[in-house]
Amino acid sequence: MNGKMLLANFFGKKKIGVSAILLALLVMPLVASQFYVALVTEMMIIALFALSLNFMLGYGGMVSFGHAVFLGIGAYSFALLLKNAGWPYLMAIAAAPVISGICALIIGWFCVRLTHLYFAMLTLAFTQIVYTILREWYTLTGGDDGLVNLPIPDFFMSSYNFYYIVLTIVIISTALIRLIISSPFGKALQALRDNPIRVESIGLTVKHYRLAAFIIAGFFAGLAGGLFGGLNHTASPAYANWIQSAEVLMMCLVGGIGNFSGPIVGAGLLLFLDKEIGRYTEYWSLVMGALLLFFVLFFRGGIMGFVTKEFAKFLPSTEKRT
Amino acid sequence: MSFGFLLSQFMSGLSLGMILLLITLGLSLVFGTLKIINFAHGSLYMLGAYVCYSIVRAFPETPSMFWVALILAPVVIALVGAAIEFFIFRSSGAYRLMHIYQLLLTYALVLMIGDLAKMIWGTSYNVIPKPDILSGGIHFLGITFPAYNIFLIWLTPIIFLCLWIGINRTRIGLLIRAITLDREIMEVMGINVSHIYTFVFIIGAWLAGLGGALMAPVVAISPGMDIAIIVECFMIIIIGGANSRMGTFLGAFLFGQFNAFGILIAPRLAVVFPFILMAIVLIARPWGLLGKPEQ
Repeated sequence: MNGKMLLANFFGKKKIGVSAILLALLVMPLVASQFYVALVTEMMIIALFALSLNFMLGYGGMVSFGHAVFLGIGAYSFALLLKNAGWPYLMAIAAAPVISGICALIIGWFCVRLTHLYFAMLTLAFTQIVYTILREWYTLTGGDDGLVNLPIPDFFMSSYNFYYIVLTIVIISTALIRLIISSPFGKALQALRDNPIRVESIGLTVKHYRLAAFIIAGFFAGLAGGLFGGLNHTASPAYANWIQSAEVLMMCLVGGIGNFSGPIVGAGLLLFLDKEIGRYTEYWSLVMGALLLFFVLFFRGGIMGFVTKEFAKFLPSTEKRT
Repeated sequence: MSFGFLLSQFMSGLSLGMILLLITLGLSLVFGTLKIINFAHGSLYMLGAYVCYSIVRAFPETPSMFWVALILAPVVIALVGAAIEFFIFRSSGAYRLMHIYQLLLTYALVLMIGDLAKMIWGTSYNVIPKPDILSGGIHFLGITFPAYNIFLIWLTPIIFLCLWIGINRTRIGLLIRAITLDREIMEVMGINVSHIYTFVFIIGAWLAGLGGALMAPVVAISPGMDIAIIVECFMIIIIGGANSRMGTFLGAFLFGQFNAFGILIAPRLAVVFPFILMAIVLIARPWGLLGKPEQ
């Protein structure tokens, strides 16, 4: 048994790997500083955001350039309900995905009428419009500065408390997404990603499935948005702009579109790079663009795609194709 | 609601529509023939504006430098376009990638070019004045309308006509039309398709650069221009229909009008109005006003 096979067996025993990670996440705040607790909290939230996109992208074959619109809608829903309507904190968080889901219904209804390139174009157009509205409607949204000075109860101001709340919510959401993917709905979605004409001929309305996928993706992205607002204690128009959409798309690609854990890996990596490279230069977009270019040309399967291909020879049952 | 007022708004919308038409034509030309949606088209537009700005600012004592810049800037952008097509698209086999990866590829270019522009020209607004001959107003039918906008209005149809002649009455135009229909057969017949691809891309880039240079005296040249314009181009293509030149013309015209009258109602949210138009078109005719239904 050489080293590679040992490692592959470890990855192959997915339950052990996942449990180890969960254990690490559970005990981390007890040993790490507040800085790292906040960092990991952010990573979990963004990982959820990336997972929500990949549900649509990797499993539904729908390329959205405007997914950040739901991050923004979620954050602003949370912030507005908390600040202007005086809702309890957790109810405001819970409302974010619901409002986001409703918006996803409206936006998605328009977008699924088109396919491929036009779908992508339209999602970009929607995100720009919402971004412009969030930025310009000063009286409601606070304009460029966003909504600040949110009345956050003391309990949730603590990084440690917030960490565990986010951890719980993200774990449940991830499990839910996983469940949906392996459900009959999820299987149909993957089928229509690969061959929409065939699926239509069986009698399933492709448009309805795509809309449902869009809404689910928007729902979880809105949840991530609400949590993001809770993390930063603000809601800013920048959450909904195209750069944010590009970043999350990159996370999915770099991590691996065809793998469930790809977006998680991508989110963690890109967030880490963002902070690291942000220390040396303000030209993060340039680096991001170069990275994206590199991966699109040479590593379309992403990191997890590469990893599973390398170890596929040794694993008893392989992961999905890239 | 006087006649003069309405006429002014109409002319405003018309000049915006025409310049958008110019830029969108470049995009749809590349898309039609190379089958690639070039997100970076907006970036080329932005570069055209910046290069025009640099040329004009480099010779502040020469007032008619703008005309020189108007000729030079699109050429520079055309060269940049050639470099992109040759070094990135062609050698990487981008044309054989799935659409999603093509989109991500051109998106990566947008990110990179955007930051490069920030590095060279900074993040603040840049402006250049209109050229002297065109800085006044023209009086007609009871209103005074900026001369520069009149210039924009009649320039685009001239270029549109030249393009039309080029595509429909020349040999290379014939080759381009043939390649648009069936690339493989043309390769089998011995035509160097790669060269023609580069040529078409250069024309598209030239149009984008020209659009940018023309817009330079009228807008604030700043980062973010690239995404703003590409979204507007996309909206025009969706409104007018993807495969129809007249559709693009109609879409651009309507976009301009909706935007102009939107400015009257809500100045900072003016862009929402063409958006509403697009939403209506998507409900009633998802393939665009003059497009054909898919499949």
